[in-house]
Amino acid sequence: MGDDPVGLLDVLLGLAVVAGAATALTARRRMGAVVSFLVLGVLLAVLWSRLGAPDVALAEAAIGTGVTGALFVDAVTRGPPAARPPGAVPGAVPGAGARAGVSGALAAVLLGAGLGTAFAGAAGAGAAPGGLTGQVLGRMDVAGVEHPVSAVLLNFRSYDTLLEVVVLFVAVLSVTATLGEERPRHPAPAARAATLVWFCRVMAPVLVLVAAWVLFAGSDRPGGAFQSGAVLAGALILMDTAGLGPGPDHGRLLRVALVVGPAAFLVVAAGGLVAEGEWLALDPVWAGGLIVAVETLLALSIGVALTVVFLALGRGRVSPP
Amino acid sequence: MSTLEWYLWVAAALLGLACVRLLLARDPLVRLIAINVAGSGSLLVLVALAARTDPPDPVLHALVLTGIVITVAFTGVGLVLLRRAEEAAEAPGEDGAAGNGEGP
Repeated sequence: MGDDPVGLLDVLLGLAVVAGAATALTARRRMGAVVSFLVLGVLLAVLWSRLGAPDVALAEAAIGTGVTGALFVDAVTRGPPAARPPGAVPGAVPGAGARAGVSGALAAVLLGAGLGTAFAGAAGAGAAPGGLTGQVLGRMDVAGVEHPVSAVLLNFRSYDTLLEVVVLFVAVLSVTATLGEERPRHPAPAARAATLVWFCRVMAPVLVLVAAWVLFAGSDRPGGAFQSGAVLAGALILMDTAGLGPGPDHGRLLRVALVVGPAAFLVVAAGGLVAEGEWLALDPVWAGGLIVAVETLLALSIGVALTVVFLALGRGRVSPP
Repeated sequence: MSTLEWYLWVAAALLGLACVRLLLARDPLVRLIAINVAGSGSLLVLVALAARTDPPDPVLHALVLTGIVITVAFTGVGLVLLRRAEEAAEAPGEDGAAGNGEGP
């Protein structure tokens, strides 16, 4: 579709995305900025599917908008309404805001124009628009899965995915480090709305089922461990809002769930070194089963990791009695 | 203008807006949103380039998926640090629970 003249739908979608971003970036209040950012995430998910990237659309909806949205909304609703009152900025000069606004807008236009010219020029000069599509499709018979994106993620370029999981793991370590020593968590307030509790009890098993479906769909159609993990995190975060989520006595279970995915990935990687003579190499005969096994454990670890980041956001400090 | 060029221009607009806000915004939460929007702009470059072939380039799609997960990881860390900093600023010297005396 790259060389087709731009259609009306593409123009409208592009303008909506830019307008959503501009609203999110210039909103006066934190809540306004966060809600506009969530709208932008939904628009981006539509844009990704328009550009033929259903995997990316799923990930954007589940991770980029779902989990990130939960994090931002939690940060805004439980934190102070603004970092500090607008007048209290040290060294603020009257009228500086308007001047900064004008020069900022000018800088944004110049930067955007420069980048746009560079991108369009580079895309026009692209000699081989084939990219790596041909190479991937040519090796699908030894991939172990039928969906090209899953094959790239867990077989052809699994080193990227391994390190990506490690980044998520480091993020969990960082946020739990800010908690300091184990502090007693205040018992959740008993008065939860009965509707919320009932809704979560009904929805949690459904969401786990959806997560499992997304996980196994990844072998022959869009889906996979990351989208599935995000749905699982969504279920756990929803349960937490109803007081049904992981509590202090689940610490050991959470730690095991966090470690099991990366550990299984490392075992399979080392197994490749032993059996195939190459780190992360997969025998085509075993590749399918190994990929599904690693993906299942990864989805569990990713879901728990995203949930722990969310929980750490709300649980740092013991509020005064 | 081709569809590819149009979306590259949209990506450039997102990057331009977000980078400027990242540098100028006072509120750290807005800066986190700005770096997320800038990330979406660079992902849009990759997805638009992936759409040049039919079927689209799976390697670029896998890279974009990786980018989305890395984004949520650093956004989570950023928000937790922001929350801790604001808690410390709100109650200076009052934090008797653990005795970590980080000032605002």
